[in-house]
Amino acid sequence: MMDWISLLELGVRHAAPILLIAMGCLLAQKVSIFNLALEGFTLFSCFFAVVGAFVFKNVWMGVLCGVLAGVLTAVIYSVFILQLQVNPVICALSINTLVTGLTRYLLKPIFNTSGRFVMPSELALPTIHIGFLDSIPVVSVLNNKSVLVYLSLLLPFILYYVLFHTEFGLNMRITGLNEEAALAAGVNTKKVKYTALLLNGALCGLAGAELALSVYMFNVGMTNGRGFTALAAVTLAGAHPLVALGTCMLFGVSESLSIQLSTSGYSAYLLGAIPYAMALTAALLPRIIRLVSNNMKKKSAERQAIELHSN
Amino acid sequence: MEPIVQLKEIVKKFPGVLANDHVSLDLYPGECHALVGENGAGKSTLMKILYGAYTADGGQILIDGKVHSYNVQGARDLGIGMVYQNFMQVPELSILENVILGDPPKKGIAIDYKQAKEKVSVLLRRFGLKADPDQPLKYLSVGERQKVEIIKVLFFGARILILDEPTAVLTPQESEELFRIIDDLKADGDAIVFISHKLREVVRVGDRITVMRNGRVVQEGWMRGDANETDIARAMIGKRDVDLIQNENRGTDVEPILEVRNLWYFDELGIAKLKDLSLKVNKGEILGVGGVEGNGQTELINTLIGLLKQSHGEIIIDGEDVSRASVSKRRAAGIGFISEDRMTVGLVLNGTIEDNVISGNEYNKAFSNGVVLNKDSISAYCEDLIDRYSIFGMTKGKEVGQLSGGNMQKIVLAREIERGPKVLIAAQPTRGLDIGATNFVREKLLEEKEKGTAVILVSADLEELMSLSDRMVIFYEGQIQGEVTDIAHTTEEEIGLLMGGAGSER
Repeated sequence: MMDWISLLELGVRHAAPILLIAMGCLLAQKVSIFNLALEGFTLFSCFFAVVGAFVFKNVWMGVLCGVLAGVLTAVIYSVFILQLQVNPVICALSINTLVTGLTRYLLKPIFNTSGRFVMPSELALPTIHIGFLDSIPVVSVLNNKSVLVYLSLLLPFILYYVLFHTEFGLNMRITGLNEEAALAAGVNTKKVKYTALLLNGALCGLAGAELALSVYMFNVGMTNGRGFTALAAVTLAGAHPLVALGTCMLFGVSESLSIQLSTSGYSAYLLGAIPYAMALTAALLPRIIRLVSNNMKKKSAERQAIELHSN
Repeated sequence: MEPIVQLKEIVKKFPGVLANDHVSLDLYPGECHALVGENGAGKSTLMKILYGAYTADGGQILIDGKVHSYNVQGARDLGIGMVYQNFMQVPELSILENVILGDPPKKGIAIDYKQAKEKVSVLLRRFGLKADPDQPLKYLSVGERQKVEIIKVLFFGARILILDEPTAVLTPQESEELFRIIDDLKADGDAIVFISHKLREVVRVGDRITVMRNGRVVQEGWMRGDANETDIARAMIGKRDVDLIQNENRGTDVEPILEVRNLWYFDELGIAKLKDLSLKVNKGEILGVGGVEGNGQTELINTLIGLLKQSHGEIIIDGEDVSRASVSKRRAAGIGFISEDRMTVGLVLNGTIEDNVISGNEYNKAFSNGVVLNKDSISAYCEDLIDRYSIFGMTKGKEVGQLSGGNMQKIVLAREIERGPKVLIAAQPTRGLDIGATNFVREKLLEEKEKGTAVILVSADLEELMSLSDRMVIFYEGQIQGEVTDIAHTTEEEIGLLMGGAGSER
């Protein structure tokens, strides 16, 4: 028998880092940059979140170092693509490859270990207990989460406000839709793009911190495709922050579903495909239905118009 | 009175071109200063310098008597606004968002949408637009969108307005409305620079007229009434031959080569772009297709060449029904196509002349044995074309994108004409070309007519249509609004009425 509450609870936990990455990715997409380097941004942040926490013996210093690492990779990425006009896909692939290798390598000189590094558990990201939440059914799954999880749930609303109610948001949207129009209106589009990408880096930094510090360890390749999952979630949501909240939650819950089912003896490999299968279904099914029905509607409307005209 | 703007000895260089060569210009409050010149004369460059979009390599800009140097934001702060030649708009966003971009009114960190909406509504009413500010811009007509461009500039409080070819996409009637708006703005004390190469308009709106040629001012500040259209044309063109080639041998027998029957095309939004359209083009006839852009001309071209699939109707070329044929089958059936966009559809810019001339012809026995191209015969063929079409500046291995517009267009002509088409579709074939290249294209089209090709000429240039066509049809909202058979006795005004959806058949 499946436990729905713990499924949801775990789902929120899984969705949080994806959401943080997705919100950053969304900012980049708004200025029409399809960022494939999210995986690299986040993995680098995971590593330096652990380094920071361990070196300073303080988990918040870990979060700060994670964010700085995310911003640093974003600076490199944006200088390459915006200033030096390097092909963004090539640049993203190099960053992802470089970060994968570099973090694996640095484990040795810094922690004198290989593959993974586990910190003492007192360096874990603390969870916040909100007493009254326990008494509310279902909503109680939101209790006992880290501050970054709460932030990730708030971010879509903040971003919605920024995008649709502030000048910076308007500038970002127009830069993405028609850069020439923005330039002609005196918008410094380069600055807008840099800001969006650096925020993208910072948010990946928070995601890395949440991923690594919630389990107080670093593991090579621990982002495990979350960057691409976030990219899929944002694209699926048409780069709308509130819709993206929904798609990210869908990914989170399906991941926790595959974990729950694996304890009942189903093949782990097949179960690993569940989030993707659900995403594909969520993405394609409504579209196929809409396409077919629109096509039929359009055809009959066209026939009507032609008949009306000939009478 | 003090001039509000003084441009002094402005110099601007681009790689290989001196776009502005010590250009001076001044502008007084309450005047409309018309700036005239051919494409590439340096008008737009000068105005982009005034608007801060380009930085001058030399010279000074004085606003209200003080020297300034600034970027676009700085220009707007000084009250300078520019309406670009092509719309600087985002059709998906609302009118409101398009207008307030750059200087939205704010309440704290948020945009004050309420105040913005009130202000924009007032401006929309002033320009006679009934649209709701929250409505997406894409639902407006071209003429209305042009008004939105001017509203954008007035919204942030510009008192110096630069209008770069604002009438290019308007009907004569819509243009007249714009001129009345300009008169209104002048009465408010705004200063306006009006760029155009339509001489009649220039004479109509210009309080003063300055003519530029090859990056220099050749005629400074003619006062209203000092010059007529011929004087201006002479100054614009210089000593060159002013005469454009005309169709001297109009009229043909009725022997249709291309027949279009009851053609319908609906776009993805379900809007009928072609409505029950039927037309015939005869052997040796140039059929001119006129109308304001966006009234179905592009859809007609694309359904004819097979890039779009019509929703209903038939297309027949010389007795052969090609309604469902692929692009290459239609080309084989005898369609030749000169695209309106030689930079993307017409040519592969980073290919050589060989690549461009051969494309679509790769399996011609003269050029290949079915597997491998015969490079020798191809380059001999290209040598011959370069010679016969006087393509200048083409050396071996050079990318065609490095040629001038006129020479690029000659390559397109060479490819399409040498195939010996039965039907030649020419879309805006002289757009952006200088007079020499324009005449070359006109001559080739008339030669095709003499050979018996059925030519469809789609053009936004009324003069060109009236000079070359044997017969004209004017499109309005996907239908033929009127057919003009006696072109010699028809005026541009009469055609203008048809373009605007009024008037009757002649």
